Amino acid sequence: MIRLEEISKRYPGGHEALTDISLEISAGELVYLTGHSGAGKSTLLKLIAAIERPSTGALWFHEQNISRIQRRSIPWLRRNFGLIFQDHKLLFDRNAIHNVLLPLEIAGFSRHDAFARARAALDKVGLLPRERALPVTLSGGEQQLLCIARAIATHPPLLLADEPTGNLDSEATASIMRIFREFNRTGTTVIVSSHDPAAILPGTGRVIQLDHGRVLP
Amino acid sequence: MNNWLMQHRHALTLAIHRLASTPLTSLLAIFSLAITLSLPAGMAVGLQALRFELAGLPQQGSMTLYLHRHTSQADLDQLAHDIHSLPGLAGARFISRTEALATLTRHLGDASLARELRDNPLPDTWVLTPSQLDSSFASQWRARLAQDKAIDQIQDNGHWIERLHALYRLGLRLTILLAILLALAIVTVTGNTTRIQLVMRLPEIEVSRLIGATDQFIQRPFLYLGLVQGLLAGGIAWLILVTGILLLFPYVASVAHLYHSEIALAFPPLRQALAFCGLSGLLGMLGAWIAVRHTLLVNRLQ
Ligand SMILES: Nc1ncnc2c1ncn2[C@@H]1O[C@H](COP(=O)(O)OP(=O)(O)OP(=O)(O)O)[C@@H](O)[C@H]1O
Ligand SMILES: [Mg+2]
Repeated sequence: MIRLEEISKRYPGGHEALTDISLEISAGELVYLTGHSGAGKSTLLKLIAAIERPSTGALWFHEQNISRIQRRSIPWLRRNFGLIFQDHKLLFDRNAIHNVLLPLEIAGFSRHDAFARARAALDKVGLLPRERALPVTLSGGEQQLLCIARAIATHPPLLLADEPTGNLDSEATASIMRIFREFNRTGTTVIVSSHDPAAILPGTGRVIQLDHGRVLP
Repeated sequence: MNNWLMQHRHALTLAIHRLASTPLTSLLAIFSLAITLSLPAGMAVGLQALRFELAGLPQQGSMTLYLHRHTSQADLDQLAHDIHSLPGLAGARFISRTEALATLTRHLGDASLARELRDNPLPDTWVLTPSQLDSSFASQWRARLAQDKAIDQIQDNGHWIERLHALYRLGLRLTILLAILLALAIVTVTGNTTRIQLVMRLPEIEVSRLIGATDQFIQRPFLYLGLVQGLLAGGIAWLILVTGILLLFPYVASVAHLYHSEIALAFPPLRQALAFCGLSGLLGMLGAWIAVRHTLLVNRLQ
């Protein structure tokens, strides 16, 4: 599903965040991306989502070369992904359900269908009782759940979760990881990054470890 | 409902929602646009009335030659000959003093006047009309006729019509210039209100792009916002105009009466009203489009 061929990423500042990465992720996999802070986990996910472009190498999503994608094709590519950001990127001017409605409106669902899917997504993460709550009134863990609900609302085939358990306690972390495990069981490919090896549910997926921009064998 | 239509309906609803979310700002912007628009529209209505009036007037000016009371037949013949050799002459009519007196008494509706006047005081006259309405003929003809002993006085009658025409042309150009300037004003004002809306919504735009929104999806509500603003401004400008016409109507009528004129302000037809609103809507959309393109480019949102 995703193939990286000798990918390197050097940011304009001159810092090389990723060096010579080659790997392949098949449909239906659950992949844990780990490594110390600054190892390049976010950068790798951003390359896949075409938020950043690799400096060298080729990056394939199915038959599409993302490293050479045209700007106007990016939106259509991204509709294949459910993105969960390290910094949430929730909209604080609207309540929970309207945050979840955004990708559904973008995808062009009718108002009725969009609401039904948004409710279903909120229900999956256990936030349905808080559908009218403003994000500021949600706890850190609940905000993260809302972010997940938004990512899964359109049933994308690939979930890219960047540090979804960033500053949650171990119990909240485990329950979020179980949610990803559930999605993976129903066929969604999931890539989750975490700097905390303890977050990984043992024996549930492949672990890719990054160290200073390189994949550890 | 098909997807395309739905996306547009969504964008329109969003635009109206956004407009309503800052009611005071929106109202102020729309009213300033409306007032701006009503100015050239009002001038156009005034000019239209003037144009109708002008169309009813003789298209040529004329020149009247008053002759000396006692002129020899030779001089009269010479004059007639000179007149018919004038360049650019469309017509010449001789009005004898008897004919003039008869016309006068008829106008006054009082036959006793003619009887009371022992002697007809009116002179013989020639009325000359040029083939073109401009003042160049007047001085040329004066020079040509200067030698004629039969002529007592020469009077140009065409000047005021020509002045009116010149005034109309000036007014027309002024209105067009004003309309262009104010059209630019509409583009800049809606551009600016759109820019403010955009800046307020940058987080939403950023997130939308990250989760797969196309440029069109992001632009659309803002374009509708410009369109709706322009349409509303056009509609309100129209109301201002109609109110203005209603208020001025009696005054124009009484002035017109004094001048024996039929001049009147007319309500422009519905077709024009719709075209006017449509144009202001398009201008609003243009302003919004410029603002959106600019903001999206400047922020280089991935
Ligand atoms: N936009 C950027 N410009 C310049 N350097 C950057 C940029 N983004 C990241 N970097 C650098 O690239 C390296 C990798 O960053 P990245 O965010 O991928 O790390 P990470 O593994 O996600 O770390 P964390 O666990 O703290 O989120 C870091 O050294 C960082 O300073
Ligand atoms: Mg990171």
